[in-house]
Amino acid sequence: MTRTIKKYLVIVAVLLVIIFLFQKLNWLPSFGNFFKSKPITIDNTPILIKEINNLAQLITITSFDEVVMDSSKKSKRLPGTFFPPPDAKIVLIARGKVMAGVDLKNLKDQDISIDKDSITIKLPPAQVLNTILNPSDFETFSESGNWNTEEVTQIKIRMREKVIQRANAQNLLPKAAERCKMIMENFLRNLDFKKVEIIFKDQSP
Amino acid sequence: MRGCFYILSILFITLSCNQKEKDKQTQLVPLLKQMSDLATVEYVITKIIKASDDKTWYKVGNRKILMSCKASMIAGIDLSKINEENITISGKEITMVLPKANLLSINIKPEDIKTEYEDVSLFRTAFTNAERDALSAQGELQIKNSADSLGILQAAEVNATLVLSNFLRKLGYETINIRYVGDKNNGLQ
Repeated sequence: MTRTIKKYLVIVAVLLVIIFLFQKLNWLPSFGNFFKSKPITIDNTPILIKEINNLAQLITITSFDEVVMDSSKKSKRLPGTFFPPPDAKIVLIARGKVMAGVDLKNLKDQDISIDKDSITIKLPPAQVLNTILNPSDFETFSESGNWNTEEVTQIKIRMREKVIQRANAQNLLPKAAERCKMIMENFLRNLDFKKVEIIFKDQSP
Repeated sequence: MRGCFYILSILFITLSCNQKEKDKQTQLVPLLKQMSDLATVEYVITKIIKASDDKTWYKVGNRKILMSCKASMIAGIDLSKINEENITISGKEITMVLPKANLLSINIKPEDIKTEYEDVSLFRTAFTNAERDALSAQGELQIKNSADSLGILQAAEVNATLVLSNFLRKLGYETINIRYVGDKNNGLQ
């Protein structure tokens, strides 16, 4: 009897050692993966082109920023319950960028004057050309309760405004204009102009 | 003497903490990067993002979501790569060799992503914001990878040629040749 038990114990021990070795060599699927949620992947759907716009924008500066915003709201009490549910809360982190520069589409013939090897160009003022906060730029740090797309969109719009505001506080537009002036001067000097003057219509850098 | 040592130690620790706080504050300022990109074309595109969460074996029931999104893709050329060697001038004739166009940005505004349909079975919880963002981010990646097949880079080069030709014509050049790095033909205008 004891001999049989010993025999079974040896078999179990050998099996455990084999399983341990196989796990170490990754020859067996791990139990962790077995109970892990499968990632949700989207289907490959076609992309439709709605519009094609011709641009002439000189992007001279980009501001990269990270902002955090939180929001809370009262949750609805479920019918038949006495105590109100806790407030729904959400904390988002966004990494956005603001691109600034000059829209050269607004450059008219009369804005350029040439006299032999001297050139004067009146450029339109620098402006914010693009503010980018894409889905991959957002991180949900904390989320409790139900938040629908519209409610979260409103928070994200406020975050975008904050990114623009913070970029402007860093003198984004004067710096964009200054950089634009430098690029244009270099470009025109490469075209053999000896005296180059760049003026901004409404705002001087 | 010992008391003096304690006071100095406390002062040192306090000053160190203040320094850390200052460092933290400087990190929070937006980072400004200088660019020299000439954006020449914008594609406004739409895409349907659809997903079904029924792959996990132990979760009872299914969750489906259908979202629509509008995105703007901007392409152009990097002017900082143009130097004297890329420009040849002979009287009223100019030849420029421009760098290849590249995708400058993809912009999917939060308000341009809409949940059109969501179906959650009884035993499952609704999609959270984090999950919706993760699905939209997959859509963003698919859009980014499709830039080549949409022909946006070719369109950016055609428009860059047009923008620069118009500008150079305003500067008085009569014959303008613009070609791109790696092009075999001369791209005469």
